[in-house]
Amino acid sequence: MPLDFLFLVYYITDTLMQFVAGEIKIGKIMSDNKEIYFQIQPSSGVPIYKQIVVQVERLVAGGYLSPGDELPSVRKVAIHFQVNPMTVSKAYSMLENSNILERRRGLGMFVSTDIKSSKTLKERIEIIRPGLEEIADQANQLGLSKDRVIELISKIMESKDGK
Amino acid sequence: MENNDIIIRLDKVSKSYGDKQVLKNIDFTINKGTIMGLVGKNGAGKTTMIKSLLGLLKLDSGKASLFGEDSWDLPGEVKQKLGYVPQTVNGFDGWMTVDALLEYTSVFYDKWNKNKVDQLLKDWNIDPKARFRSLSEGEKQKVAIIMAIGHEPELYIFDEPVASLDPVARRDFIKELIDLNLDLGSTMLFSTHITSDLERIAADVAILKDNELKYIGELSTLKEKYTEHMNLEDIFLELNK
Repeated sequence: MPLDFLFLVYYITDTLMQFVAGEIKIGKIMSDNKEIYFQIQPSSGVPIYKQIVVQVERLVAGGYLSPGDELPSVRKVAIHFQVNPMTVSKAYSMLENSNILERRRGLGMFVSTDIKSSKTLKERIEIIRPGLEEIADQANQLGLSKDRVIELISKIMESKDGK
Repeated sequence: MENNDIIIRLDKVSKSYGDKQVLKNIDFTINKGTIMGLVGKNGAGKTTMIKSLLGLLKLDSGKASLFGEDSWDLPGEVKQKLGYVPQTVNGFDGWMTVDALLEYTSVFYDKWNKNKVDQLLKDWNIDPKARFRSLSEGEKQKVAIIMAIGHEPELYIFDEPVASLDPVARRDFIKELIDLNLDLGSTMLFSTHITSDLERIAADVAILKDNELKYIGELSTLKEKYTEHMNLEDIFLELNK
């Protein structure tokens, strides 16, 4: 019991602190047909361009973004998150190089039409595995049982469902 | 063509004050459109480096240039393309009102975007009728920034521009820099101790340590050299151990 309580306190303060420090920014940017949720943390050890690349890859892999979908412009993302435009460009260029996005002259960036719309279940599981492994390590360190963690993840996923 | 893209260049620059060396053999370039953050402990040489660039200091050896022109002998047209905000805001006539001070500043420039200046005064809550000396440190700094933006320079050099700004004002300032960079492709060099601001706005970073340039290049490349748990502040502390 006390451990769970401690974890809860730890979890809440950690999240709150990040909000207070303004380090979490959950953005909602409208492209033509969809809302895209990016989360950018400038003061993370992970470079901003990489944060964008990984998130777009995930959105495409999960089928949230489909071939032909338009991405928000560099300008829009830079202004919305108040980050350097070149950093956003770099992320888009890398996604273009790996054929996830395609640039249409004068129009902007779109999800490539020649990629599979969504990856197989197995591929999607491989994408999420590293994050889950980190959570498993943390749970062990905090002495949280498997059932507790599964229950917590269920609750978190339910609360985010439909958002 | 490549030469036109280099806005700032320091070539093997050294400088001493008496027998104390403050810059050792600094090689440094900034390309057009780049936003570069300059970090270093107090006394690492940041301000000296900036002053060398601006031709405010005579170098012992090496060469500093802006837009391909020797910093020590900057022609007028290069000064028109340059906006500089010093670390401490002084030297202005404190009895002047903000309006008068800006009017006075505008005379020195061929172009002056009065709409922009008025908009910024409004957005940043500065009373144009207030006397400069009656303003708080933060407000003085805001006015100094507006003075540097008015003539829409191609290059901005800021020496700790946000030191006395609160978090809201710092965010407003960053937003403005991003707008300027997007709209006019302005090049920017700024020194700061606030690494979280730098991580947001600078794609490139230069780190001075013991009067030498320890790193210059993309911030993302620097971060990739360390573990994902280390942000710029951690890396800075590590480099200064």
